[in-house]
Amino acid sequence: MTYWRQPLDRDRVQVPRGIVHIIEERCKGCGFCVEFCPQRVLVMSKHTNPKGYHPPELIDDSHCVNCGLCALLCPDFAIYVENGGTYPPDEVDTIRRTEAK
Amino acid sequence: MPEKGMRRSERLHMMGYEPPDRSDWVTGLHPMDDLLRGERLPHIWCQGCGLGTALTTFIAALQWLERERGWDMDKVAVVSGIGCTGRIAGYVRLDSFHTTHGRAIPFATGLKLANPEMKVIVISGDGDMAGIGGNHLIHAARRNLDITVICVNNFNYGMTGGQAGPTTPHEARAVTAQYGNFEYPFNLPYLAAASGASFVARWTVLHARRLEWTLREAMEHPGFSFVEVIAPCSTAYARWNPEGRGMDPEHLRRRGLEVMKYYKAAGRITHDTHPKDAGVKVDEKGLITEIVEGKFLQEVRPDLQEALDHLAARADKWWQVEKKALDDRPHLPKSSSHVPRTEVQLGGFGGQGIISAGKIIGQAAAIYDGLEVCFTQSYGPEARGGAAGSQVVLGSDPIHHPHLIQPSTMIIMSQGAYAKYLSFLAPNGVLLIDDGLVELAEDHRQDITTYGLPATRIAEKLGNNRAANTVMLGFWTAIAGAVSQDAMRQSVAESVPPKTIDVNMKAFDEGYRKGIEVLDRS
Amino acid sequence: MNEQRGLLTGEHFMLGDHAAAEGALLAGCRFFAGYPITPATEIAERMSVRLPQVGGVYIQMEDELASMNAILGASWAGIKSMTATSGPGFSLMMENLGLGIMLETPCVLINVQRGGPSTGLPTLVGQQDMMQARWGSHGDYEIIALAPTSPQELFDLTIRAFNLAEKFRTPVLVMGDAEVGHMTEKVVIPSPDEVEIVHRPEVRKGDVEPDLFRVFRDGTGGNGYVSPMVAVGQGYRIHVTGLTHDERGYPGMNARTQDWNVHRLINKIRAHRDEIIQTEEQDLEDAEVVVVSYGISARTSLWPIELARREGIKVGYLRLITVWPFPDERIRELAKGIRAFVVPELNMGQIIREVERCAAGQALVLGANRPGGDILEPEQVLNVIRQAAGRPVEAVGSRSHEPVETLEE
Repeated sequence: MTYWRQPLDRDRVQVPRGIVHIIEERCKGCGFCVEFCPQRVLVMSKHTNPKGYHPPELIDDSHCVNCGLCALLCPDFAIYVENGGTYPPDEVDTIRRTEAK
Repeated sequence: MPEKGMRRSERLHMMGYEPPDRSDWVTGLHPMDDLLRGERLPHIWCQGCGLGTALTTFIAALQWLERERGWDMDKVAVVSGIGCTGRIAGYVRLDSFHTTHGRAIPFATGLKLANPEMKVIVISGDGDMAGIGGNHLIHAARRNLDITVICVNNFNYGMTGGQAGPTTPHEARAVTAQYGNFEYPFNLPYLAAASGASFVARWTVLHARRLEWTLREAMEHPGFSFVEVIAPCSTAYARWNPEGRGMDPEHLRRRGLEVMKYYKAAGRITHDTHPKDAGVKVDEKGLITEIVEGKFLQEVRPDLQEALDHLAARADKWWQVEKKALDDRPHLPKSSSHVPRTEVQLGGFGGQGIISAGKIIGQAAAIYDGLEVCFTQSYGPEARGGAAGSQVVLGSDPIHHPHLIQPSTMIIMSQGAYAKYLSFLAPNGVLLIDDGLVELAEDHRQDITTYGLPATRIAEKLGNNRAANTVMLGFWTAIAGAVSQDAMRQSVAESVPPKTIDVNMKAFDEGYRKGIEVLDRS
Repeated sequence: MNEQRGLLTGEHFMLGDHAAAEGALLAGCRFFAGYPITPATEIAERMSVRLPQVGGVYIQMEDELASMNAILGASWAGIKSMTATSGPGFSLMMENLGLGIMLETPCVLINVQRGGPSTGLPTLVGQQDMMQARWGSHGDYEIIALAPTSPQELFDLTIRAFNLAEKFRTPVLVMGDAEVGHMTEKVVIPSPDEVEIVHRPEVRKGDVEPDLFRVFRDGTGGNGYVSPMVAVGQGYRIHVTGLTHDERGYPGMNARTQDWNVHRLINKIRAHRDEIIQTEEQDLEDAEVVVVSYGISARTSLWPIELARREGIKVGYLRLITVWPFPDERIRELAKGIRAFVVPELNMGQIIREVERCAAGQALVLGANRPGGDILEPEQVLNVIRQAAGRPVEAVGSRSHEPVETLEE
């Protein structure tokens, strides 16, 4: 990522990363995780799970910051986030596949 | 053999655990699965229902308490009532109780008081908690019982199909309020706070993170904590009200989500709001316009258990005194002669000790003379201030009929009692009156023996006019001869207030002496 | 905890209600939740003084619904618990009596009966809740109900009620009445070592692998009657529900589970009727008339029975110490050889229905009834005995068995 000026704490800030796990067969397709993900890393998929619902699909995994809101909001215990460590801001993927909020 | 460190599902499989056929839930996939009863999942809640999120935040808070505060999950119990929210008890892998409609809080009260080391959390719905169980909510709050109450409010009775309830906003629609709700709802935080809850908060499930934090605090809070959780009812309430975009075909499939988006717009996080101002605001059509959220009240006050512990020491002291008195009771020789059924009627006015006198006779006869005794008294308003009456039946044989059939002796200490009871006295019976207080009628019965004694005046002379009943007891003991003098003296001594034992013994002896005198004369 | 701390022994001149409280304490009751109601209040009063002395908890709840529920909660915490009430409160307790039965929760409910219906006669006697005791809560179940006739029996039967509750994991009713509850008599309290005290079969932490534990299935720790109970906090993470449930306590909304569940609740009592049922019998061998009664009415019948015998009528006496379960077999057997049953009770005919059912037309069944307010007059019962024996009935002074035509004089 390029900056028009270097942030003073640039060397100290680390961006957390989360590894999103979706348990598709538990999903009821309510859309909470997709709608309220602050990083918009999820979309509703086109395919259906065995219950006939459209589970979410991860499309911008590198943007997940491990906030865990999807896991907390999910009424069906169908999604959770694993700690993926941290990395320097430079390595954040600049390409976004969804509209950022 | 199962070993430590194995996955739970593997361990169970080795031990012959058969997963129930109804569930397709594979446990161990999700970090919260350990606190869930996988065999009961998936849960019954509809798509977009907020209850799942309420459960998730609750489990997240518990896991935090386990991790950060060392809580033992074996010492956590969840109690629910009936309804969609009530089902939560059945999904958490904790000691959990699914009770009757509205009664989760009293059940939890018993559980907590009987085992104070348990952390008890009540989770139930608004209908359960504020409707049918409203009385229990306010009283548990009043007692500041150390439990956490999580009330999930979805503004209607969801499980039964969406009827209006105690939290349905005015003018909002429901299955039973198709023209708009004509009633007004509770403001639950205000209700809880006014009732004495020492921790009060409200969140919508949309603010899941903050809700989780508040739940941690609420569960750690010593005393009664109340958290209202506003959650979408995607199938019922959202169908009838604009929050869920009603029947708009565009949004039919995800009404819960529409409501959640709506909460995002309507939610106002304002901590420390006075609960009075924390009502859910609606417009004239019943559309929710503002939901005040936050932690409204948190104060540490002595809780119920503290008060109970305090009381135990006092009780023990009292017991030591009682026990000593009982241990010091003498063993008198029991009556060896056959005493026929003897009936005594005592009558007077309230305050004379008519009831006590009857009881003293009964106790003397039963405990010290070893006779069969049945003592009864008049209850009810007429026993206070007005007329007082008590009856003693005694004898050597078992007393089948507990009431007086025809009393052979009467102790009468008021004009009213004289008029009321005299006709029941057996022919040849003995009437004892306090002759300062009772005046015989002109046509006084001639078929009985009447003895008078100015008992109240005698007692007054002895220094306590309240011992008049004891004077009469002494008098009766001598004349009736049914109960031994020693037994009566002992019974008097242990029945009167300790400071008045001396005067009462003097009163008894004086009455007894007069009785002997009277007998000698006749 | 020293279970004998603070317990009374020896002879006491004691109110019936207080005797019930002392019986409960001796039986190991350490939790009482109740709501003031005449004529049962004295039980609560006594408990409020005594429970803190023995290390127990007394709490006055907001109503009887809450009281009944609180004792269920306490019982699941592993503590023996009790409540006491009278008619109006008994009605409120019916809801969660059902929950107690469904959750197989040992506890004791004392009903000091007064005259009804509704608020009725708060201070005066009645025996009008006998059928409510049997059928008052909705659904199918079996119940155990004991009927004391004196303060001593309120003491003794309260202990037995706890023992039965613990053994069969079910709420047990003590059906007293205002007369017995408000009567003061000698009560002999034995030392705790002399009394048989039953404890529920129980599993504790480490006894069984929690995931394999079935809260409603016999297994390790059962007593041969019911499966063991587990208190909260023992690590079993149990779940119980008032819904129809399976062996694990999980809801099963289908006919098969209902069948299993209801049969279990009913069979555990029915299969042990002989052990539960207690009667007191006198002169039944050659009786032509048998008086069947319970509680205060049984006691007050003894005198008219004596009078009838003096008249040469062969009267037997069968007192129901346990009213529920009802001694069907005994009544059936007696019906074959006698002329008539007389059933005195302070209601307009409740237990008489059971006697009629069992007599099945083989013997005449006559009631001596009065809707409470006072105990039965000896003359009334005597007259019915005479009638039952086919003797002429004498006119008597008491008209209490006849309807009052007008209250104005």
